[in-house]
Amino acid sequence: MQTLPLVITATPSTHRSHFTHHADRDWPETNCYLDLWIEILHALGLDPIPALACLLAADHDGFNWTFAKQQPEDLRRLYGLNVNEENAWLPVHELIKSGAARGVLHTVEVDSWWLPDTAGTAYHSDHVKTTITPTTFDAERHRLQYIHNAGLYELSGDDFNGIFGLLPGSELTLPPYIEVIRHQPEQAVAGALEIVVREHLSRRASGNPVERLAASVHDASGWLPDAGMSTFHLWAFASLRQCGATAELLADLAEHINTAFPGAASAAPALRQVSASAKSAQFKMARVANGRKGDVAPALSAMVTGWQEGFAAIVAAVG
Amino acid sequence: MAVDPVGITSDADLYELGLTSHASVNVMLALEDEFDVEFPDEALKKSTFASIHNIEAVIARLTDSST
Repeated sequence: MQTLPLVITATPSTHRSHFTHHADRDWPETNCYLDLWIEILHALGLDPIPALACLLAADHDGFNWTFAKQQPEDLRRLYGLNVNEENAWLPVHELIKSGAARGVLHTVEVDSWWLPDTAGTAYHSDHVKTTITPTTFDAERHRLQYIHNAGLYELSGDDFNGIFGLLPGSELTLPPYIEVIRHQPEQAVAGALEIVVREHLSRRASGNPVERLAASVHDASGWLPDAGMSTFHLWAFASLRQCGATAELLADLAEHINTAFPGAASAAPALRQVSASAKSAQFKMARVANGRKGDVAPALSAMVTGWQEGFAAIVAAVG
Repeated sequence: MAVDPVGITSDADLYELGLTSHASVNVMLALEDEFDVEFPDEALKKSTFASIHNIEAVIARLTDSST
């Protein structure tokens, strides 16, 4: 199987974020892995939207919304990108350094504490697990350029040493989870978009998952006021943000697949209604968590209806 | 946000400057506490907090209507 060198040539000054990460979106950041792969594909000159087909199978199990991730089998069939766990027998920085000579990219779990793009949230203030893809590794000057969330950034100096556990006190107790990405174009499959859309749609949630989310939100109204705002933000990220972002990205997918599945784009307005209503519900639940009253029922009802209508349109189009 | 708040113009896009979803929620709560108001349902959307100007407009409406 032929493997071609995989290189991201964009730099922090030349990279322009994908439109799903622009400020005019309801949810310009979704979760770190989903966001990372959108920008990896975009930086490689590939369209990230087809790989969002996995969101068609998003669900709520009564406790959590799916933490969506682009699926390795989709990345392989759509783009010829082979993603596997890296065999991490070397220190992390040496593995990352090996990528350029091998013509591979990595995703690696790191601590946001060392990521300057998180200034104002976690940088030098909070330990938060996230995932990045290094694009250039300069051991001599202790500089790393990397994709994270919605963009491409650079870190250096103590942040370089800290992120790889090379500073006193920053040693990594356990090795992080690392994936290696190889470009094997022969593994791409003709007609992959239609295949992955049909597959994920066939695995869609039973019933309406937003109804289950809505029930859990109503339940949270009882315990959030005693949980504190830091817990509220974690809960909101896992619930309303994941659902809202899923719907907003599915609206993009619905429009993208309209050529292959005529009529699919008619799902987009309803799905965007889910997204906007999730944002409204998040504000209202913040009030509740802060000890005030808030009627979140109308927003949740709009989300349930929008999801129902959106999926009905996609199912009708895909058949 | 990652930028110095001093000097941000009233029409600058706060999301472009790094206002996160998390932070916009805190801004709403702080404004409601400070001005003793409650943002109406139609204002509970992302664009309300997109600029100082937008925030001022909503707060002005709410405080005018309460006096």
